[in-house]
Amino acid sequence: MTLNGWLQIILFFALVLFLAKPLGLYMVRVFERRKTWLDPVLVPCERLLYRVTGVKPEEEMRWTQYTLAVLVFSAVTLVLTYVIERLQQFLPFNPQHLAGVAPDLAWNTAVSFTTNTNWQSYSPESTMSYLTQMLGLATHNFWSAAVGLALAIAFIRGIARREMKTLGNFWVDLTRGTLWVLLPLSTVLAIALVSQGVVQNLRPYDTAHLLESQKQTTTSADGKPSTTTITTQTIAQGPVASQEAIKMLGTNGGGFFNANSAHPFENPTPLSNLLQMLAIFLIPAGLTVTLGQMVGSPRHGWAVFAAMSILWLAGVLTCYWAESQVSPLIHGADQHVSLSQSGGNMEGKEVRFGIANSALFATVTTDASCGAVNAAHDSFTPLGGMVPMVNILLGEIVFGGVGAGLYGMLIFVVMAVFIAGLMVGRTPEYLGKKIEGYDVQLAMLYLLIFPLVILVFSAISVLSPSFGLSSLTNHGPHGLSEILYAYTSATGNNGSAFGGLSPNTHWYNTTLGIAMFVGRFLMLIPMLAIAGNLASKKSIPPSAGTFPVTTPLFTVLLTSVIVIVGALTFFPALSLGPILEHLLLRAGHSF
Amino acid sequence: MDILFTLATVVLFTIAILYIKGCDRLKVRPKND
Repeated sequence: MTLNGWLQIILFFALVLFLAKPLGLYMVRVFERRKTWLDPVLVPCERLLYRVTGVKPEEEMRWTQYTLAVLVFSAVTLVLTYVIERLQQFLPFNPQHLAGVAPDLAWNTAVSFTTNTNWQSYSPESTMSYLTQMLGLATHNFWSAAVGLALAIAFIRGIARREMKTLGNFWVDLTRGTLWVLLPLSTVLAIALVSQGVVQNLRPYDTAHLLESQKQTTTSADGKPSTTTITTQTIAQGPVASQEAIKMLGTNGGGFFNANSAHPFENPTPLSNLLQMLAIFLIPAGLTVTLGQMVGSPRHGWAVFAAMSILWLAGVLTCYWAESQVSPLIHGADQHVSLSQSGGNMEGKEVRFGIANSALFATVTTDASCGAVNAAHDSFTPLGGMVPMVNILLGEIVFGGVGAGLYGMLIFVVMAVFIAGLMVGRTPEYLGKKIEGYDVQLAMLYLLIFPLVILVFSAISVLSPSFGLSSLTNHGPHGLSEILYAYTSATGNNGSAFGGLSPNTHWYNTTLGIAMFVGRFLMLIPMLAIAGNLASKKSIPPSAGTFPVTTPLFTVLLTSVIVIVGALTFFPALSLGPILEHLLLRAGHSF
Repeated sequence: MDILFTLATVVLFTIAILYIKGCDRLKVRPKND
């Protein structure tokens, strides 16, 4: 670990802290339909959209109606994306004449982008046409993020409202989130990324002639080796900057290229890297301020922000430390940091980012539900690679996905308040609302669905040599980590790949698709049910037994509840994967 | 295969809609259990 690395990490967090408040206050204005400086341009667009679609913006929805609208919207856009992928060879903007996507991969990808996961079982530049990337996938980057934003706002309204049955209008929240928040921010970021060298074009791919030809030996299906001489290299192009911006801002994470944010056309400089990491945390951090303002307790928003910050710091500290360690299996080579080398574990990392920015990016992208990567998580040390996995396993509530992070965190707030209530022997209260059996039952439903999907699918895959283990590159505890990470990433709607697993098979495409679906839709339903129930409750004044949710004690309790729930649920699986691998590595074994 | 995945999508969204009903009914369940 170096001073330079720490200064960069501190700078990153200082910028998040600095930008959270103005954006959070702006989002309050957007979702409470107050005046903003973008109104002269966007209000006519908004009115036109409502007129064309027949939306009545003043009509409010109960939680069931709100949820149904989310499901209908998601179902229609999912099918649309599936159709575009399947028919892309007949559609325009396909200069490479790429074939239609196979059914299981098309379905997996459609579910993946609809659920804000952006898991990619394929190499985008050799699979998806420009039209599919722009119309089928990038649109979902906006829509899925706007849905998450709308859901978080609905939950906040549930806390803020008193004796009301409604949570707002989904179509209005979706529209305003897209027009007022995501579009302006992504336009600014796309231009900033172009300034750093991120490409933006619709040209056919370039072909470069190699200065030295390369010989490649492959083995055919019948076992005969054949040698090919490679003299050219194809350099993929495309409308990358515009998609890169919303990929990060919407915490989507699906790369235009297979190498994602490690690719020099997606993330060329340390500054573009900083902008991308900021873009991931920007809206989720701002939402904590929005929460505080809309519920009338700004200090509660900052208490939630503080809990998120503690967990973020713990993650980045562990990951940076682990990746800076020397390998016990390499002897006779200087692995320590110096002016001429990074030291530590540089396998799978880009030299232009180094260890600090790779560890920070890995932590940020998995704290949130982004899933973009600028390094190979599979090449991290066992403990360094465990950090991204643990971040997702905790529910991606450390700032988290756009909207999803906040509502996930608020479920933990309900649990923390409930536990605090039990400690003092009174009915738990949260900002003037009694937390009752129904709320806790639904919160537990939310918390239990997540590990159920991850652990059951992982267990089936581990037990099956034919369709589960056959996709692995590594064996032993590292192989378990690869499978566990895949289902964790899918169910958590993160989308980052640990690597080492070839998931483009019928089994993985289908089950990962189901995991993504459950991780999004079956978790948001109990969350909205809690919101609807909270909105209908009376407000009661605080008493001597009320546990305040604005103090450092609350922040510590909330952080503890998150860690304990995560540790109790996943510690056995983690101990068989990365923890065992770490211990065996110290004993001289690698996988 | 296309029909299979269309059916899978319909089934999953149907389960989600039933799940909404389930969560809603949980609230009105008698309290004597």
